[in-house]
Amino acid sequence: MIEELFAKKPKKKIQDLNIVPILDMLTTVIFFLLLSTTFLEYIKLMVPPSQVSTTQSEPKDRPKAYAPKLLLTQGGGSLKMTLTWSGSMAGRKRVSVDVGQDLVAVRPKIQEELGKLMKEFSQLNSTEKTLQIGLGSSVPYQHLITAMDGVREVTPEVVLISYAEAEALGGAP
Amino acid sequence: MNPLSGSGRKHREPLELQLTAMIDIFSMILIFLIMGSVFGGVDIVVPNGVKLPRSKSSELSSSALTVAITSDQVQVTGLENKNIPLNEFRRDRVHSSGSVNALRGELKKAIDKMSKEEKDKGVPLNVVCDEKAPYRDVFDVMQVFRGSGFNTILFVATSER
Repeated sequence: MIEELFAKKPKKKIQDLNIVPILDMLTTVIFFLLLSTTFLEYIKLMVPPSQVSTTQSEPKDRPKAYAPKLLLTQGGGSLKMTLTWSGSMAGRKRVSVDVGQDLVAVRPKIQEELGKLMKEFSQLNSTEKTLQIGLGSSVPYQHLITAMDGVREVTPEVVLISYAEAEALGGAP
Repeated sequence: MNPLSGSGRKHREPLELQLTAMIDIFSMILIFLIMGSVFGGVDIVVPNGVKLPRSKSSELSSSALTVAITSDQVQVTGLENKNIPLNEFRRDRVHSSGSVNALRGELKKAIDKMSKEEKDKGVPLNVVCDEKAPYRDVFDVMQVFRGSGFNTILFVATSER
């Protein structure tokens, strides 16, 4: 009995957790998650209900400039951007940008020119926040997104107009 | 007694469970489950061959009906996955097209099911389209959806970064 009290207890074998394969798998999981992550960003375009007419009625106190319209038409390798507005100082400004096949590379130039146009308009009417945008029927969709990016600072609300109207108004001298 | 067998008792090695290989396999299964799972957020399907335009907008996506415009088809996801030929949306055919009229009916039903609060916020529509698609395609399709009551259009684009 005394021997039992002083007998050495058998050593318990300590179970080792082999974390090497766990680390391998965590690395693989991170790799796949990085590969599968995509970034999607959106532009929100507020379009009025179809019952509401897009043409504005004459305001009682006729401002210098209101109801701006931006028309983008393409021809001869260049994109013509025409900004027209109504009012006591109704006007029209046109800028032309050479565009190639790369729609993304020309984006900064288009946005820069649009920024200048909109700044000139905002000096006439800084309270106008709605802009009508129309593109020619064959103008690429990327230019619409680019134009919306370019005007967002001055006119965050955008209304799209038909390509027929854009071609009729934008093509006029 | 066989002298070669030692004391005569059979020495049985305890069975050991090899966990390493099992952990590897379970981890690979976990990877595929993660890749296949939907996290309840926005799930927008971009058709093959469609390259989204670039934008510098930072607005987040929202879950809404999605219409994908390809070179010859219009795919509506979220509404029994309709596929309608693009030329049915042209101005000279849009009012007489049976497919488009059926689509209008289903869109109106979907909007009628929405609560008043959702309608007041503006019924949203996600538009997925290739960057090189002509504006005519986008506008013709949007006109049908606007006429059916979708008054908030969200253009899906990829980040500049």
